[in-house]
Amino acid sequence: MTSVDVKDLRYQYHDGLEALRGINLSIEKDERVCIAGPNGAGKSTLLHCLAGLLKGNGQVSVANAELKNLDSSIFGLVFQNPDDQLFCPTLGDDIAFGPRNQKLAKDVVAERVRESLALVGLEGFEYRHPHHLSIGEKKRAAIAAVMACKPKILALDEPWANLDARASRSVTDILKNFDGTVIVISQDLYYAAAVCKRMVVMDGGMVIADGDMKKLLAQEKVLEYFVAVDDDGCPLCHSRTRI
Amino acid sequence: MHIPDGFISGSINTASAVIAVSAISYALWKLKKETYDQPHKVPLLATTAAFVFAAQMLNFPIGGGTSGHFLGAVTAAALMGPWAALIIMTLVLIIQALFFADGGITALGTNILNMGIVGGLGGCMLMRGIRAVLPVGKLGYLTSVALASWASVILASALCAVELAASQTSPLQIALPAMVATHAVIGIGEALIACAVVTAVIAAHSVILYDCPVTVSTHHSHSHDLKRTGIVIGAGMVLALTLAVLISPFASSYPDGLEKVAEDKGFIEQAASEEQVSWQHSLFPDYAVGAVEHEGISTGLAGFVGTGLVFVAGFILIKLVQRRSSVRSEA
Amino acid sequence: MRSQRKIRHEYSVSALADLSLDVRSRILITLLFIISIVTTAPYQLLMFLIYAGLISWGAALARISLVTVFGRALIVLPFSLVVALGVPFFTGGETVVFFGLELSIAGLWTLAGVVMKSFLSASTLVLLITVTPINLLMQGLRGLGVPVLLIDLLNLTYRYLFVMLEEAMTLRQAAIARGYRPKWLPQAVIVGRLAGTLFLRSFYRAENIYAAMRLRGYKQVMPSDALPKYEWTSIMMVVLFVFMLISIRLYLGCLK
Repeated sequence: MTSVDVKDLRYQYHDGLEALRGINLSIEKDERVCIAGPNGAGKSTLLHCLAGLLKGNGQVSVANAELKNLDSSIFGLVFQNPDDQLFCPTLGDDIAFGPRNQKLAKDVVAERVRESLALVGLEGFEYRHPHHLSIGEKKRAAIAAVMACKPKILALDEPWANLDARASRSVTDILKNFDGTVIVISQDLYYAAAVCKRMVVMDGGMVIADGDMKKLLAQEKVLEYFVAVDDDGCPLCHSRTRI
Repeated sequence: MHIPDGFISGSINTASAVIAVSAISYALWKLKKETYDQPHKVPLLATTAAFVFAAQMLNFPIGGGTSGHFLGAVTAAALMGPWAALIIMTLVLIIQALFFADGGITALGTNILNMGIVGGLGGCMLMRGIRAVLPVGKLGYLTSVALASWASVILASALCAVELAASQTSPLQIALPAMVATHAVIGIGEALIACAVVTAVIAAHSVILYDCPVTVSTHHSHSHDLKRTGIVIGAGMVLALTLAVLISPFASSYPDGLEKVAEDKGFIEQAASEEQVSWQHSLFPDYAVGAVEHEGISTGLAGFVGTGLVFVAGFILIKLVQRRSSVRSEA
Repeated sequence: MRSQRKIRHEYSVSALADLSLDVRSRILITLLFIISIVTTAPYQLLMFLIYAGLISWGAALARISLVTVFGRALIVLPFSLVVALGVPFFTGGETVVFFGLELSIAGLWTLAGVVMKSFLSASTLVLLITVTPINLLMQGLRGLGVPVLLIDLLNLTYRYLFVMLEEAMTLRQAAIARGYRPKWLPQAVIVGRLAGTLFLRSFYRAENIYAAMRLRGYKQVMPSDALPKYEWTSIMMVVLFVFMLISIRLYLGCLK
């Protein structure tokens, strides 16, 4: 059963920049996919199109249905900057935002809040002001806020950016345990490999490679996207890309 | 300029609270309609309010080792429109009063009147009036933003002084010239900052501005521009003169900052010996009711009426000029 | 003067545990108490002592140290002093000579009254804010009839205030690190450039926030739980409090 199906998707920004130039992509239910590639490759634009925030030309179907309206119970998107996503004065309110908008009963909402906070290891944080959290806690809180809507597909934009090792590990664990499809955009291939088997490499608004992550990284033309090379052509070993 | 609790008399606080609540209700009604079509404006209003709050923390030097800070009312109006500016200033003032003990709760209406209604709405009207007579384009736009920012700070501070005086907390002879003189300088900083912000926005993304100038046009008749600029300068001079005439009885002798007033002992003694009559009637002026302090009230009233008159005069003038120039351009 | 304003509002756990009094009653009591403070004539010193006592009692009930309450309220004093310090010199009437300065007695009373009133009112507010989480406070205001749009905006503004403050401070430090030492007024332009950057960031941030809100089902209004019914016992608390204040003031002859 396919979870996401994209056919010949194109997107052009107002300033004329063609961010997506014919994307074809199909993701199975419960699959875990990493989207990687250089800056400006169109990765975030693709996620925004999948979420329904942007309308591109082409066919996008999510959870076997043509995407019409945004639905928080189908597609959840975690932004790169958790500050943008935690917009309520207390964490409890923030996590309850999605479930309340789904018109759930008060006790169900409270249960969702408790459950989501427990899932990301932030029990008892209901009354905390988001500004007083560490970056790792904010990131986890943002994931909890999206997971409280119980989406079938969880997409994350750079979930490991700026996190220390411990926070990164906890994000990795959260993603491993998520029940559903996971799509991550990441440069941190070390952590991404722990979650995802499949990798989609994008460049210039197109998919240039798609397949098993380890096999792809064995190919030289893929590897050169992720490893810096010194003057003699020797790869500079970068801890993030060592798998 | 944030007046704490206990400075303003009950009647003034009540009156300004009534004005503030009605203005805010109207503004909210307007914004509700607007955000129904453009719901993205809800977070934008909030982040702009947060921006004004944060920008108020950036001090700039005004000379003599003291510093002033940004007010942001006209900037908010230029970015988001007059009613949004009123709400933005209201949000900033409520949060400052509630969470930072900056400005009192009972004085909230008065503070909103000074900085939101006079500073924001009044400043925006001024800005539009000035822009109407200035040549179309970036320069004219920036000039209007600068002048309106400067004037809004002065008007707000003058009103603040008048309210303090009418509540008999500090004498008009001292408060008004001191406030106006200090804020005439701070206003320059305000104007510079407002222009810098607006310029940055035009450079980045001119769509963001609420009513942004027509794209900076390179060809329009220069003689016409010059005429209009002349009219503007004339109008400005008349306005400045009116202001000067109104303020001069207070301002002529001591155009000094408030803090300096308190420090400068020699000056203080001199002023004390030149005794003013209107402030000595009641032992506890806040709560003396009835016929005791006619003169005190009349001084305050004069200030209110004066400020109002300058406002009205300025607008009539600008409207006249506008009509005349539009008639000419048709001819 | 403004730089000291950066206070963090974290409520203590003990205060959170003590959420017995309905938040609407808390707001009303605070408001009425402040109105009572500002309508007390400056020479009624006993009344001001009673106000200070009541605030201390409230702080003790909520198990908050008095240093916190009165310490934070000290912030209002600079303004009070700057504005009102001139008054004793310029008010007429009887005068006293103090260190060679001729001071008006009426003016001194005005000064004292203004300082006491602003300080005590600020302390009362600090007490309310310290024992009431922000979301509850906003719910209370909403329950008291403040329009929903204003409440939503207040919540959002309060949330992004600290984010923007932090960015403003970072920008200023970056300017200082590159040799920005403002000495004269025209350098306000540089503050303006920082502010311009700050606004653009706040604009793009608002776009992201709106996207995040839409993704989680935002439609015009921020959802929130309805407050529990306003119990008559809570209303009675307000009535009792007002009754107590009025009786004290009548007894002491302090009601105008």
